[in-house]
Amino acid sequence: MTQRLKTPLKEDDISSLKAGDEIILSGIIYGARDAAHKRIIESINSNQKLPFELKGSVIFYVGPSPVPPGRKSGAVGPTTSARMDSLTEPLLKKGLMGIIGKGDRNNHLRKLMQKYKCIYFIAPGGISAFLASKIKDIKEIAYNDLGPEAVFEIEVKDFPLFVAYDIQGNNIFELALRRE
Amino acid sequence: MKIIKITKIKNQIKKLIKTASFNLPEDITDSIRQACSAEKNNTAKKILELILKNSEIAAKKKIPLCQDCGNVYIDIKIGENICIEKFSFLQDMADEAVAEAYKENYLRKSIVSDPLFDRINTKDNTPAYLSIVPADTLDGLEINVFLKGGGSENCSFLYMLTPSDSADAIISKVLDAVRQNVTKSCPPVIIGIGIGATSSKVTELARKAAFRNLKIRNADDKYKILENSILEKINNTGIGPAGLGGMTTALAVNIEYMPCHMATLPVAVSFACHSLRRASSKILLP
Repeated sequence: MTQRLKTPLKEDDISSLKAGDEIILSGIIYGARDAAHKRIIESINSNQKLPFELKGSVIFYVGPSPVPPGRKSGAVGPTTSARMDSLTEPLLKKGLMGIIGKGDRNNHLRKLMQKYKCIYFIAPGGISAFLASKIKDIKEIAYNDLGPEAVFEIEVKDFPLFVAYDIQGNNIFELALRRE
Repeated sequence: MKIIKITKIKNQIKKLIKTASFNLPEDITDSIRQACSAEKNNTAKKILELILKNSEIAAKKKIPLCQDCGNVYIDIKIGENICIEKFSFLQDMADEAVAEAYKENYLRKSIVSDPLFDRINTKDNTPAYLSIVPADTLDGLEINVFLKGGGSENCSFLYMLTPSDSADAIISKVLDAVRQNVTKSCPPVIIGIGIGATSSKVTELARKAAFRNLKIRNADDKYKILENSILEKINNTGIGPAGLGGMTTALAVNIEYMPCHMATLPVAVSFACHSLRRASSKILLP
């Protein structure tokens, strides 16, 4: 089933999503990967202001390539999610409602995603010139010294995704193997 | 003795980085096209079509094939009676070529200086990983550039097997590595396997195997059969493109081997993602 979603997400938006559903996402998402996660967690732990509101937000694990002159975006695509497995719970506690990445993640993280009601979306990796055509705007909003690992505010239109883990605990990677 | 100017090599490296970043090699697109027409799984077919479409957009609009523009490996083969002017500056020159190519082409700079403590981005994607190989049949110089992303680089494995182990032990290690890790890379992948040599050299062999042209099969029948058999087993897992099911988990399994110590059987596995970036050129001085 294909569904259209808009950010920020609400609980009603995600409760009926099923692993395997195709999603077309529009709105603002936030690019943040390894180094940015460490800083966000430091800020959470010391009660400092966060670069963006986590409640209802969708984080995209991405380190975009620079925007060439005259274009809206450089190449964008998901990086390996499993590296963020141990860096995700503090963000889930703050109400993060969606994550976009690539690949399967560990059991512990899968359970946490279900507990905190956060959807794990995947985008196929390595189709980054194509995905760039779905970006309306991209800007660096925090941790500029991290270069491609900074936090980015990204406006997407009709961004193609799959639901990988739904909040009932289903997993697209297991379902894919069962169908074969 | 024929002299090659170091600036000529630098310009070639810059050109090759540009070519590799925006153009998927023909052997890869041919292989994806074939896989796409053979796939019965609709999602798999759709993803393979997107990969082909991505390569067209990248070439036309000069947007990198992948946002991870990679580590830069540069292998230079030097032929007989060739002298590189200012040879001792080759590493500096390679780094300059990388820095300029990454800046001029708006490629992502992904290298951090200190690997453990500071991890500060070098902001120019240097250093380049340079290797120099003598080649006695070459009338000049051959430059090979390979760009390898971090996601697939993380899927690299070294196994020190024992001489009593058979090909089955290798098959089982490779299949485990694929099952546990392939969705963290970008399937369909190319699996490079190095067998023999030493623990350090075998990982180099695996990397070379991963970047080998898909149309080249192993010249030795025993290894060719092993390549085909591992490929078939990987694709029978049903993991498929992006891990969403299908029969195209890998496009190829390439093996490179060398002699090894009688007490050892080193095996290394290197994954290359479908967005395989390589380019090569020759400077001939006959």
